[in-house]
Amino acid sequence: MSLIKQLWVVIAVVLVLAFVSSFSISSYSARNYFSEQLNIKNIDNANMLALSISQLEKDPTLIELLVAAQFDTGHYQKIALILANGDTFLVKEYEAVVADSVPDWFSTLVPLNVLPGVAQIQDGWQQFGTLYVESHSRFAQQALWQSTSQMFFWFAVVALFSGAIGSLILKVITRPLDDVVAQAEAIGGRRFITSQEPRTLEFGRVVRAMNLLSLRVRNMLETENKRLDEMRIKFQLDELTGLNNRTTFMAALDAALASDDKTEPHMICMLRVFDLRVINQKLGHKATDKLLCDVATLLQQQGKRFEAQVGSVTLARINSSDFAILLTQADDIKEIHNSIQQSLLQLQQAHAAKVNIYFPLAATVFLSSEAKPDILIRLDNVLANAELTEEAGIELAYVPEQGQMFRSAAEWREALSTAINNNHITLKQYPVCYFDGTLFHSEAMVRVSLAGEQRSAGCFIAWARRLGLLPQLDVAVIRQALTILQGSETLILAVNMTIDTIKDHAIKNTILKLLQTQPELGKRLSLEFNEQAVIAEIEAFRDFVRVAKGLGIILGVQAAGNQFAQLKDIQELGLDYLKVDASLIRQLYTSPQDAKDFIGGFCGLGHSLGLTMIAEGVVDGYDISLLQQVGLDAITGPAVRAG
Amino acid sequence: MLLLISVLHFSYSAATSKKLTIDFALFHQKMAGKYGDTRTELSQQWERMLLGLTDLDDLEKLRRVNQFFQNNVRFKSDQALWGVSDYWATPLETLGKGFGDCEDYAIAKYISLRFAGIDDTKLRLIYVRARMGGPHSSVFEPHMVLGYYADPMAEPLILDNLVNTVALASERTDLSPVFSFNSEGLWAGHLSANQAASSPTARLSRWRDVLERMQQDGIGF
Repeated sequence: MSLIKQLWVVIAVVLVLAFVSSFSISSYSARNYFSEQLNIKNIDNANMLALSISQLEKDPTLIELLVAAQFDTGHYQKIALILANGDTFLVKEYEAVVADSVPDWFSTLVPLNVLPGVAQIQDGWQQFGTLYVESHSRFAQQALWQSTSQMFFWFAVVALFSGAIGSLILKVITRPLDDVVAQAEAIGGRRFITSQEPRTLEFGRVVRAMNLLSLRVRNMLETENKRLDEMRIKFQLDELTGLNNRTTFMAALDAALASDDKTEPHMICMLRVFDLRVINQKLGHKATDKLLCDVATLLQQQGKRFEAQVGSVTLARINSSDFAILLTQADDIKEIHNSIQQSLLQLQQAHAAKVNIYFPLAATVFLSSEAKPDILIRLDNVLANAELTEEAGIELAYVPEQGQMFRSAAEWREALSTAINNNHITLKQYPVCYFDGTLFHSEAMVRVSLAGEQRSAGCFIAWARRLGLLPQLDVAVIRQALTILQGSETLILAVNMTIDTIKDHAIKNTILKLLQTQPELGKRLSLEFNEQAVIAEIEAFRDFVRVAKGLGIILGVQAAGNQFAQLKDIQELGLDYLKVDASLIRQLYTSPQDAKDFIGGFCGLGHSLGLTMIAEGVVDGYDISLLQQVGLDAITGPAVRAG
Repeated sequence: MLLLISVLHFSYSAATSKKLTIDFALFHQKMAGKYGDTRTELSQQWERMLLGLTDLDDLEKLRRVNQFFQNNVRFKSDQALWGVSDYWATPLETLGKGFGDCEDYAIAKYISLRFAGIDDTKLRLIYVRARMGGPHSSVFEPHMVLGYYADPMAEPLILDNLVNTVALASERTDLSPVFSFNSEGLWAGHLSANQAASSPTARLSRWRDVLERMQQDGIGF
């Protein structure tokens, strides 16, 4: 029973006790009062009558008249005169039935025990007889009944009123308790939130303790995050420009190539600051560094610009004069390439007064199915050509041979909408396993039926994103996932969602309603979001998580690790797991020492928040024991499928 | 709730105590406390006298009780003794003071005889009109005597502080009876003597008041 209920029962019991005892005592004393008054009246009247008769000549008629007069004018039940020899001289008794409203049970339960008044009648020195006088007690019983029922009514009113006030006070007193319980439950659910201390002393103490705990977690997290970020910057980033370094870039490229969906199109742009040595001589070391930083800033701006259109953006300085951009799930190579080229031209013109700068630019699209050396060679060739012409950025794009399913955006929209609306969607499940091989959950990859064929995400995701259809697709996927869950008792299904879905209020509400209707299935549904997207839309994410957690949904962040420090107050979210980005996992093998330290620290951090840490993009040839050694809990990727 | 009310119902006590009891130890102690150790001698005499009555017949009991109070209590008016016009004294007060007026004698004798085992129905405290100063006097005074009826129809024997002997009513031509009473009916039924008399209203009656006060001296009905 809840505390509030128990307190309420105590109040009720106390009230009932108070009511019963005060009511009983009042009724009892009222009854005694009535009895006593009647008794005294009896005694007094008996004595008065006896005194009168004693003075009389003992003429039977006279005595009878006297008694009758007393009886008839007064309020008597019975007057009896018993002679000294024991004979009954006279008995007068009231025989009519008095109509009253006193129920019989009341007369039985609370009887008025009134003694008759007894008095002696003298006849000279002789005893004449004994007089017994009983007053009528019905009116007293009636009065007693009335006063008792009135008392009952008022006591009941007071008791109910007190009960109402008591409950009200109880509510006020225990209101802070709800908040305390909410916080405790939040902490139990790994959401280390702080809340305001209630004024009630005991509650205040509990909340203070919980706040302290949350604060410690936050401090620990901040310190650890800072340390990890410093570590990451040191081994992942280029010192001068703050872009990724070559190893990181290569790992990202590897990760993109290790993607499960071999149809995914990605894009790389590579640009070179031509003749950097000459520029260095002309401008000097400092100005050259500044120039390189300008290029980095320019790329960052471009990256920001396309971030929303593609899966992810990785910017890197891969050697002293070369920069690279990796865009995953991107196929609109012309637009991106043009945009970068334009901005490079501006930079070139800005420096034209001092020095001639050329930025040969090469770009290519590739599929996850291709081999890394092929792509790099292709890119190098194109870049070499661009250099030879000594012109500022020559567009050299390579578009792999792939039949475009639809020619125009309108056609794409039509086809995708139809598929979504008609639920032409299937989910392919990929396992995420613990090291002992048991299933952590199944990750669902969406397949959409387009132009009569099941297509994996790579074919259409870029278009769906471009057309703003991802939220609708997400809803359809969740619906599909719930159907799958319905057919299983134990399966936990993870679904990848875009942040746009929860930014859109209407869509978000549709999803929440969908989940509310099947609360049991919701507990086996796992929604995961991209780390980069979450950071960009942290408030929307926070709002969604708060509600979703309340519904029991499992929540995770995928492609995590590269910008984790920017996830503010993650301890308050109550996430369930993190999928560590495949490029980071890749670096465990390309630059093991740094990556080991970093990922180990990252796992420690996650574990301290109770998160399950999962390695993404585990391919054949990886040393699984190394993953376990650095502290990861589970793995996913092509190698897991094979197993 | 019903249970509670019925618990508050007082049980019927058979309080129609025919035999009167006296806690002599308490009585002596009260005597010593109120009137000094010397007066306990008299109360002890009273106790001895009462205990000596057990096997005697009613007439002898009457004589001895009458004699005891005639010998040990002297007449004094309430005004002189208590400073009020009328005061009904308990046996303790009467014996303690050594003085009393007519009703004090009658009450003390009544209590003593009840203790000696004479039934309440045989005893009456009787208001009488007393002619003072001889058969031809026209001075009358209100007076109280104790009457003993051997049976309900009998002529009573009168115990009167004005004369030392117990006499038949017919011999007392100086007295004319007005009204009589005893304690019959006062504590029958569900209320014990204590409760009935403890109620402040009941104590408005002088008779019940004095009965109540003597209970505190150890005299139980």
